[in-house]
Amino acid sequence: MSDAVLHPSAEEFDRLLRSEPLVLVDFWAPWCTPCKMLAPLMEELAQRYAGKVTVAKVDIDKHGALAGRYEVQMIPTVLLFHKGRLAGKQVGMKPAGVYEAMVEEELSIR
Amino acid sequence: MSAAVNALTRGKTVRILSSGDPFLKKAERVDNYLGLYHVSGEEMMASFLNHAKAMGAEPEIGRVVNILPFGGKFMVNFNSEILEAKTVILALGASSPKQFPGEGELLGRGVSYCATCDGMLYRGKRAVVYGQSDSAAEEANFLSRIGVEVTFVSGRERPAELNADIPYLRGTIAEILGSRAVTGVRVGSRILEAQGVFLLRNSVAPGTLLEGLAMQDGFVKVDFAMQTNIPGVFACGDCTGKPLQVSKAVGEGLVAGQQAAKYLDEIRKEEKEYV
Repeated sequence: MSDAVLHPSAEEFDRLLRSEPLVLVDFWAPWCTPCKMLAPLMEELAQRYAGKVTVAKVDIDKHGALAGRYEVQMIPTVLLFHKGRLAGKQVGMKPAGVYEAMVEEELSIR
Repeated sequence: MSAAVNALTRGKTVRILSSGDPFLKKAERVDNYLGLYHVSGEEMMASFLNHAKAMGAEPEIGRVVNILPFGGKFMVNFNSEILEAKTVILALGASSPKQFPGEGELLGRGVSYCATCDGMLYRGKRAVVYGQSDSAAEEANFLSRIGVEVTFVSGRERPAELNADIPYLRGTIAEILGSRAVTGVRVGSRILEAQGVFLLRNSVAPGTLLEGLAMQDGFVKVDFAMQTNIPGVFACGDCTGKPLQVSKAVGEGLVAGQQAAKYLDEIRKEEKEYV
């Protein structure tokens, strides 16, 4: 597992949203097969966009409150935050192009 | 099976993943398949199966819930196991499931097609399982085991494998209720309160299975090589359109199998040149 993808605690998560301009968050759980399928994709996104986007994963079993805060009802759910504000949301597993398009759009607005 | 047989003849490794409910078996008699005059659908199916088995490919029964292209390969979620393939041939049949009112709007907000994927989210909550597939009862049992309060709804009679303590209701879903999230399900005039609805049909719509798959008039769009818009993904048979006939399905299966094999040979050649 590379260290490109972060696994923040609840406090670290809030700090991340305050300090990093673009944060892509993957809500997942160890028992969720589509989440496991998405994992290598998230790793690659983290490497490709290193320095521009911070990629973080939140295990909803460990951080139920965070999942609840963003009304995560199905996993995987991927949220994109731009300067702390929710800028994009994808529910369910999608091909790489969908996440790239979401990120690229925010990068162009910066 | 035709696609598998033809890919095998080209020396490729093949796995056939099937929901185990071939439509052909229901045909009382087929008179337009050359060489098999006056054959029943069941006999024909058995004959196809024996041929595939003789060549080393036996259909594995289960549900494919999603396919994800990644890194030049495809990850396939089959019975919660992640398989990896270099090419995928879709031979999904023509049963394009009609969506229930509220299904599209509430997908991901209480509506799910996979109990083992999303079940854990409904622990301590109520869920309705609409069981159309052969494995629906097992999935309902799984949900109950992990602490979901399940009600099983089906148009068929109560499955023998369904746990005795799971309530069963005969019928079909008239509507899925809720605005921001599922609040319940209407079956006839009865309203079942629930936070989750698991729609376990025999087939998953092609566009849900593989996001971004181009469709045309409700069928998977292919060119003459049975190639879809996604490189490495081929489709054949009833899922590509009319006529919904066995001869056409078998013929397209041949093309898909051969083209998938050719595609694999081409990538291998490219890899060698690159190195």
